[in-house]
Amino acid sequence: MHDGAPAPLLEVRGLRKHFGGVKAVDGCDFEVRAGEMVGLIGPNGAGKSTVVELLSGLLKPDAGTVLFDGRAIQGLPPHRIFAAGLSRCFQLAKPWPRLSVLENLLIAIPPEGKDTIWRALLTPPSRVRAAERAARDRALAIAEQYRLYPLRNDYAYTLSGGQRRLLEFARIALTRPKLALLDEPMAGVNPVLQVEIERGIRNLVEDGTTVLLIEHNLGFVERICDRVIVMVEGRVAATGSLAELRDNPIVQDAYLGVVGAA
Amino acid sequence: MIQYTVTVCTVGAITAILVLGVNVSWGWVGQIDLAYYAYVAIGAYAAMVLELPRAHPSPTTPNSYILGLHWPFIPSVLVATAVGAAAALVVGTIALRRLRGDYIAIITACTALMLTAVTSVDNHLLGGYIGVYGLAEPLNTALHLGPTGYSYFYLGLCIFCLLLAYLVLERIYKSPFGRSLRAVRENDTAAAAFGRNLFWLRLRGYALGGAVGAFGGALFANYLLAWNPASWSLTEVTLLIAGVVVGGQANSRGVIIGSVLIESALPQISQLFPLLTSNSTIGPSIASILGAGGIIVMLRFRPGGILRERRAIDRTGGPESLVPHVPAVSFARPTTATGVAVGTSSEVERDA
Repeated sequence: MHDGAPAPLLEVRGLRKHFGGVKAVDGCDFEVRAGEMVGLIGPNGAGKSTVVELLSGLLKPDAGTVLFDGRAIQGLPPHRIFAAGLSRCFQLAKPWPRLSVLENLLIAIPPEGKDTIWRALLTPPSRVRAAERAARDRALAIAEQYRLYPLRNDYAYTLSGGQRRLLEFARIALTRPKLALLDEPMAGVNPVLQVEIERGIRNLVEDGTTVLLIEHNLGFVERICDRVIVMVEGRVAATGSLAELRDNPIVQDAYLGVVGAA
Repeated sequence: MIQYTVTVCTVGAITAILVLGVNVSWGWVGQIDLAYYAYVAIGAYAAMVLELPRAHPSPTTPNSYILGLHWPFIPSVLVATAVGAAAALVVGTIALRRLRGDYIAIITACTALMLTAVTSVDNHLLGGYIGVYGLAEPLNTALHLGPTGYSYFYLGLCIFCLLLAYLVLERIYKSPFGRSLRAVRENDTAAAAFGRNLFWLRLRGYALGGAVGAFGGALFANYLLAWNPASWSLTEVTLLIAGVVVGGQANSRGVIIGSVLIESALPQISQLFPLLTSNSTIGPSIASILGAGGIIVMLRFRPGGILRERRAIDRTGGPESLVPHVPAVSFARPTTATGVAVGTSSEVERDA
């Protein structure tokens, strides 16, 4: 749906991260264009999740560059990368457990420097209430979109695994990112909620977010992604549509075949 | 007897302010701050040396102190509060660089011990082990109250300050800043991934706790009219933490109740059992014993404390029965080619 080739939104060049002797990511190159929905696939241990950690700033790369929206973001702390417009969800959902679902959503709304002590003390109460109401309305609208509205007053730790996933999506949707990194959003989710999550991802894309999706469920990847990047042993082995890549011997050997690369 | 009650209440109100400060760093941000009492002491010393006149050391009393500016009460307390915040900023900059809780606990404990050592040994900085003393009753040069009247006045002042601290902290707690702090406490990785600068947030929370501690310390010193290194130790911090645990972490009202219970009410009630309090070993430590016991009992039976942390609730949505609680899709329903469920409720149709 997004033809023409403007400058890529995300451009990864020579990305490298070794843990001792383990070459988790070893010279990884790929790009993602704005509006695309790209799948990142590969066998277990191929370095997909490490790439997400590196891109989102939770890990610092040993080498390589990451250009996001024209800016080099490699090695920046996570909050700066978030501010640049890159959100991620976690392979293991990380809600803020002892806060309500509503509070989880309110926190996801980017603070943009408004969370200071002085603002808390000096803003007149009427403006505090108005800002709070606006934030709440936005959070509740998203909650409804992601089927969390009835759960809005529950503690986040009471949510089921699938509901936590939905909460992750709702939080990402509230941040209105340019790029969302989704790390195995379907893992451990029952079929009913999988449908919800697929819908959630489509919602994100409709709202103008570019998506990089890590997923093992190839049927789902084929259904939803414009293009896939295949990672093997820390490198990109192939890119293209999944239909093309099914016949690619490297991909078959590493991923679709019986024997994994690990 | 009434005078005794006034004393207990005054100290109780000041302690409650101190516990509110512990609650900021421990209840809101979730970091164990063993240096907390150092900020109380810094506030106390700062207020003392600002309010006292210049020191006149003599051969018989060789100890002296810095400053001695003879400032009035209110600016002294305000500046003492700021000094506490500044000290917490300095310590926090070192302690909070590494994000692990045990690291913070060690650094802060070391800070507290170092400050005690320095102030005890150096006679010219803050009067050494004898400390600073001889303050005139604050504000009484204008009020001309007798001892009884003044004690009532100071009790009122402390309760007013407690209320002020409570309202200010509640406002901060409910603000976006307070919410960000709680996100850091609940899961710092996720907080960072959602744009929170962990170090800066923790540091500001830490400095806020230090400021509240120094504020309480300044009030305390102005009540005692003296302050020395024996007034503060790690035991005091433990008692304040007990107030937070028993009262309810991150609930300001709860921690005030916890503080009153652990530090004022229970020790007073224990006085009714002379067998216990007249015992030369147990008697002086009764508050510590009750505090430690309170921590253990609460952690075992009610980890949230007497009043649990309140979560933000939305009541504007009307009756919940209007919205189906379960997702409006089920296994039985057909799905479209794109995998989106065909639901029957109006909500699904609206969203799809």
